[in-house]
Amino acid sequence: MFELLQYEFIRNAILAVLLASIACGIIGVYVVVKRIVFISGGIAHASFGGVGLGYFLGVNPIWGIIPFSILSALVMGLVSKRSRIPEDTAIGILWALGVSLGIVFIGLSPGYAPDLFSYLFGNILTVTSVDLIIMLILDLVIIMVVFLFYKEFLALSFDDEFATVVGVPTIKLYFLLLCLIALTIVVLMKVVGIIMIIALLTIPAAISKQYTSNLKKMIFISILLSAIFGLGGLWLSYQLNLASGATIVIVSGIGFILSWFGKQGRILQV
Amino acid sequence: MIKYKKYLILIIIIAVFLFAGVTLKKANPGLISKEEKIGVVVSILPLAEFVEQVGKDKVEVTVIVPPGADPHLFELTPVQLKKISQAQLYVEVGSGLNFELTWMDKIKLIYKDMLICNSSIGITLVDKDPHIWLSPRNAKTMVENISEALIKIDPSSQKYFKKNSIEYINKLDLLDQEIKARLEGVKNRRFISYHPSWGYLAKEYDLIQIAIEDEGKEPSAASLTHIIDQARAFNISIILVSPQYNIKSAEVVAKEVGARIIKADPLSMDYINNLRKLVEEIITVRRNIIGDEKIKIMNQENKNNKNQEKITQEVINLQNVWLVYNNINVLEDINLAIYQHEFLGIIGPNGGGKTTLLKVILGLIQPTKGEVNILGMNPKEGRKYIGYVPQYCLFDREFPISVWEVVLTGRLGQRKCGKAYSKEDKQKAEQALDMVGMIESKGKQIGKLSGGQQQRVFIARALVTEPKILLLDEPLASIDTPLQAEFYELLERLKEKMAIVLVTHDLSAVSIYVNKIACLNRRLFYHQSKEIRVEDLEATYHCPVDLIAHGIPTGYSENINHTKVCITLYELKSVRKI
Repeated sequence: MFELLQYEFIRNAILAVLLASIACGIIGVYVVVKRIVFISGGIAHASFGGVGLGYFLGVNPIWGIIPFSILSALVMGLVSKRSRIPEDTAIGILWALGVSLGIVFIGLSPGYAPDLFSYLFGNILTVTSVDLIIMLILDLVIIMVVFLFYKEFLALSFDDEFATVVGVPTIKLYFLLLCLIALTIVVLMKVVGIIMIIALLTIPAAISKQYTSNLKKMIFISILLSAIFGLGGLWLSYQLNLASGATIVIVSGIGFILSWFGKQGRILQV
Repeated sequence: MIKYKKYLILIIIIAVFLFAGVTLKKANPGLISKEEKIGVVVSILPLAEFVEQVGKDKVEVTVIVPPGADPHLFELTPVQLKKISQAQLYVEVGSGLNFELTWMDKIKLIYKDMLICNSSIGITLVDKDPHIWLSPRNAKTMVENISEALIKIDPSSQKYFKKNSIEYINKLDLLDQEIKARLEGVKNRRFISYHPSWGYLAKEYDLIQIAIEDEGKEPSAASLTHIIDQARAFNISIILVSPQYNIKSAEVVAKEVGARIIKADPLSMDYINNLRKLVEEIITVRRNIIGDEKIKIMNQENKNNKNQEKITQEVINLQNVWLVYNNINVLEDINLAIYQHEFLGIIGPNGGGKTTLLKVILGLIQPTKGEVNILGMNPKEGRKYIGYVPQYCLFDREFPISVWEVVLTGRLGQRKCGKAYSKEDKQKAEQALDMVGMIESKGKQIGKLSGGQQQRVFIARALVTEPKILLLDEPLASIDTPLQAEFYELLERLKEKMAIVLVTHDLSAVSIYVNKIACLNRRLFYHQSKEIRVEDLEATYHCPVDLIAHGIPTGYSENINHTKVCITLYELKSVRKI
């Protein structure tokens, strides 16, 4: 197995998995405890418009994805908080709108869209060192913001109404959290692809929630689980010659089912 | 026989001692050795001061009426009679103090050899008012009388006593001048005194005393109204009370006319400083009141601040508040004023807008029409003074957060975003947890607690900001009935510090602890009282309501199908039948 490490693309893939684990471990926990899985899925899909924009402008799609995902996060937040449209309706609309914009952009851009599928389904083997640097920077931003606003995010997730009354700028913080989700999506996109990002945002956090009642511990456990699932999936996909993103998601899913049965079995025994 | 002997010896020994004691005492009177002090007994503390100032180390003074006792009602004790028997001089006020009137004749009869000094000689009584010592000028005469009496007993110390008395009289002169100077320019020279003890002081310095007490009795309603009228007419701002008396009626007058109470002790031992302090206090209180009045005038002039005066009492004010949601009226024309230290229960059916009303008060929902005022501010600013305990069922039981973390979130608004919790935050959180009795569960996950315990934690979270208002949304939903009394006792304690608003759909939850009750079903029925009118209840619950007397349902109860209206015996007491 170690002989694989001599290949740069494998080393990059491993690094990408580790960097992605950090982002999804931290933000996934907030997505799960604040119950904003659906809105995260919406942001992820809508940011496909950014992929299209990148192709259309002829730049590395990641430069299209970053602003587009942040924009869709803010619009999503604004519409769901400030308008009378029910939140899930608004998410559904923006979700599809973003994807369709992406398709139209790609259609408008001349020539082929060579690694389009890698954005949709993820292809960890094509991660470039530029991607890695961007992922690293985004990770640092996420870590720093969460470190600063840990208590505020906790209060916001637990009872945002009360936090508002107490004087916490909950709306601003909520938007900030949505932006962090957007950045996390950028980081995860190469690993599992837009369509399956939700899996990495929820599964590790959902498993760790079963084992601890402390948010910090939950973050560390879910980072660890993400890394295990990511590396395990990567290894399995290499051994079985399967798509890496999908394999990682399947491994994560199996992990969740096992842990759930384990927990359930223990409860039944008691 | 041996036993008998023992007793005999004992009796002899006792007899010898007794005899010795008597003979020793007999040997004494009249003779004063140089080291021995003159035993002086005085009626009241100020006299003791005078005697001590004149006699200094040559006298030993005993006071009959101890500090804090009422000289009108005081009775001599056997120990004091013994003290008197050992003294050579008794200094009485001599102006007709009740206590002296009852006891002096007897004392004079029992102790014929004792010199009695009437300190009031040379002072003319005004209206038979016995409190002669309370004017410095009278005090001077009294000091002279005392000095003469002391000289009579110990002529050898004449010079000493004279010198001391002149010294003290000079001090009294100084005090006199000082008071005159301090009171110069004070325009309103009237004051109220609970007990009419300051007549001589008033006369001396052109002040006018109005007494509340009626010849030693609590004032009647008629005389109270008379005093209040007078106080209003002359704009009297000061009421003096002595610490010896029950001052309830003084408080009534003070509240009625907006005057301040000053504690003034006519029997203080430290005579000079006591008077000086009193005059000083009268002047500062007057100055403050004048200052307050200026502020009041300024406020009245300032139209924007027309509610300023109300701020002190009114904590929440809603005026004509309407909330329309998709053309449906959720709240209709709500008018509500809640005052400090009130405990208001708002009842109404589910969906009647109770939670919505709370959210409007908190500024979480913007009303379609009308105005909301929290301590004179708009809700978004004012809500930092509100402790909010939201409806219980709203959070995820599995949420990874500990009791401690939950309570600390209450402090988040106290700092800049992103800053760590300070020591003070942690202290306040600990105090709040302690107050609700949950400090031991600090480290537990919130979901692992029982409903009642969680509710306590949420109250603690609301309390850490030391709010002026506490809003509780259906707080009893999660608490078993037996524990509800305990919960209300907690609220009862909190009521001392803040206004409380409790919202519930369950009529039986509103208990004796609530001061006032309002009914809400889109419209608010509130009469600033604890009465529920049957018509209000019917309007609120949209069905005929029959008050179930002693828990026995009658007539209408079949019609109560939509809403369960149950009224326990508690509420029956406060329901007015029509």
